[in-house]
Amino acid sequence: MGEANGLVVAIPLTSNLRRLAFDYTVLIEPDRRNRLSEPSVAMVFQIVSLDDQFFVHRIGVLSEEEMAAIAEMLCELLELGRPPAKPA
Amino acid sequence: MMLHRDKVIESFHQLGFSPRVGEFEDRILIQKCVLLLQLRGLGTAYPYRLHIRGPYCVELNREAFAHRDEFEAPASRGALDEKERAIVAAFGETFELRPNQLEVAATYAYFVSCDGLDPVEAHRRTRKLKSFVPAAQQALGISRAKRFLYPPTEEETREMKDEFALWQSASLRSGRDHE
Repeated sequence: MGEANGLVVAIPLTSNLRRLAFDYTVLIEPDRRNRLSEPSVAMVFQIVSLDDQFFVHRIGVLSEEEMAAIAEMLCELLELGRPPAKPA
Repeated sequence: MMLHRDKVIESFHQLGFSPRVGEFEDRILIQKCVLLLQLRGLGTAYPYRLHIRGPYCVELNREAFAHRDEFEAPASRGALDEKERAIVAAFGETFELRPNQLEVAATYAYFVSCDGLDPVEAHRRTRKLKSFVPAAQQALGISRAKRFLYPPTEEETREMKDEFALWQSASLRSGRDHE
């Protein structure tokens, strides 16, 4: 999650584990740090910008490993950090 | 039983993959490439079992050493039909020939396709078995396995879009409000 200009860029989580069938998803297990009540799926490909008024308070934080997994997928999805494609 | 080594050699030729059979990492690549291609429908019949580091086929390893010259300099033999060539092409577009990535992808695929586990349990078992692979690489390997082997159905996609329609419309509204 990142903030800029009154908007928060967020990756939605769902407790609907059937969504794990999609690629660009990460399984997040509940723990004391993230304070989730059940296993959830981070839907990386559903990244959205939302008005910061939608966000009331922070429930918890993900582990560094989970953040690294999400970051890796985001880079691949957005083709960031890769050499430019060779011309045909 | 015909294992169809000719299809494996032809696939490696198409992928531009010339493994050095004496190298451990290249033998991992051979093992994992063949399993993933086989599960997608390449038409080979190598029997895989779960070993310490993931799915492994003893017979394939034996063939790689017995026919080392063929594996190390794969040549075209006309062994693949059009559909099988498309499978190899899709594999090449999805995966890089990196041992960690393919190990994770093949392990996840084995749990789903051979052990019949649901995606959640397959995720958990893969993470446990491949705990030496960084979490980011685990996630990427699993994601690519899903893309290559288990595309969601139209119904699943429709349900997913319905579930997140609220998020998307809220995002559109937020964007408009900030114009």
